[in-house]
Amino acid sequence: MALTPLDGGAIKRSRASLIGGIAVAIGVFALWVAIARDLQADGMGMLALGALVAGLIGLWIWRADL
Amino acid sequence: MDGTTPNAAELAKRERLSRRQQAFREDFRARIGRLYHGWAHVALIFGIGGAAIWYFARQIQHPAWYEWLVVPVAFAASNVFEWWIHKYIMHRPVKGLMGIYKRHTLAHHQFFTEHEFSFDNSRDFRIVFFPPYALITFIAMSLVPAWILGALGFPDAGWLLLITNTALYLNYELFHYCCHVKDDRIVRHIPFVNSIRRHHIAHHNTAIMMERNFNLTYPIADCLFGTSDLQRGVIGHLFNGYDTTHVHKDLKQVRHTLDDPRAGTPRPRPVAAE
Repeated sequence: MALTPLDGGAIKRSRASLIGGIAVAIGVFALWVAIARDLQADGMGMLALGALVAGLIGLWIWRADL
Repeated sequence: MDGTTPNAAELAKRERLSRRQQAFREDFRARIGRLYHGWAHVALIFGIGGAAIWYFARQIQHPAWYEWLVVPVAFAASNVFEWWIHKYIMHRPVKGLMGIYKRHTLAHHQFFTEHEFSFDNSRDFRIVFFPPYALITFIAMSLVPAWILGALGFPDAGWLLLITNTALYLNYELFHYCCHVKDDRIVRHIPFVNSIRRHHIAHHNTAIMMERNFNLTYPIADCLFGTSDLQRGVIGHLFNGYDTTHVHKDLKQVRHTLDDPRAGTPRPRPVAAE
């Protein structure tokens, strides 16, 4: 039995949204790292959290076709 | 269709909407991703922009008086850039940037016309706000002159430049929202906002959209470069509000096209002479 996509299979995933999602994820992560360093909170845990947040934002932009 | 009988307000709205605009809206809305959420889109733009401004502000040490001059210079440059990119990129099919043209001229201007220029719900934000990567792109573009200012020994001027440009981007998005919001009971009384709302709604007139009213924050470049639909000075433009008494009398007009709600309406038969 085929797996049912979480989005119901009706999401248009254009290349522009994929590239945009990657660009925003990189931008958010860079900003996160800069702010974490500025606040002297740039431990591995905080950077990992930043990578997770940035990744989820990028993924949402791609899957929501934004 | 949900099978319910449309009420009088809905019928009046359908009357205002041309068939073409109505069909485009239905088709566009059907294509919006299920995972799209309008307020999340807005929160992302203002969250990233706000965080960036906060970070840039924390880097400023002791700016000399002349370093503050970068703020009005950046404001003026941004105003011209906003005008230029709207006139020559968003309304012209430029090779390599066709996506911007299609999204703006072919989609945004079909979704919003001068007859029906307001969004219905937050899912329509998909066609009101730019995608978040536009903000990332504009910040990245601003990093270049900011870095040059830093290399020349004016780091605080560089940070001030970044703050100004990022704030103006958020200003653009906020004002554009105010242009397309349905209920104008508040925005019609806010200086600058009421002026740009009238200015932008006039721009959505298909007849003049290619040559008039390209600013979306403060109509300064439109006034200076003669591309405004108003015939008055800069201060008059900024505080014009909803006033239409200064609108050029010789603007192009489109009649009886598919964008015209009167399209298809039978002409009244001339009364035969008795």
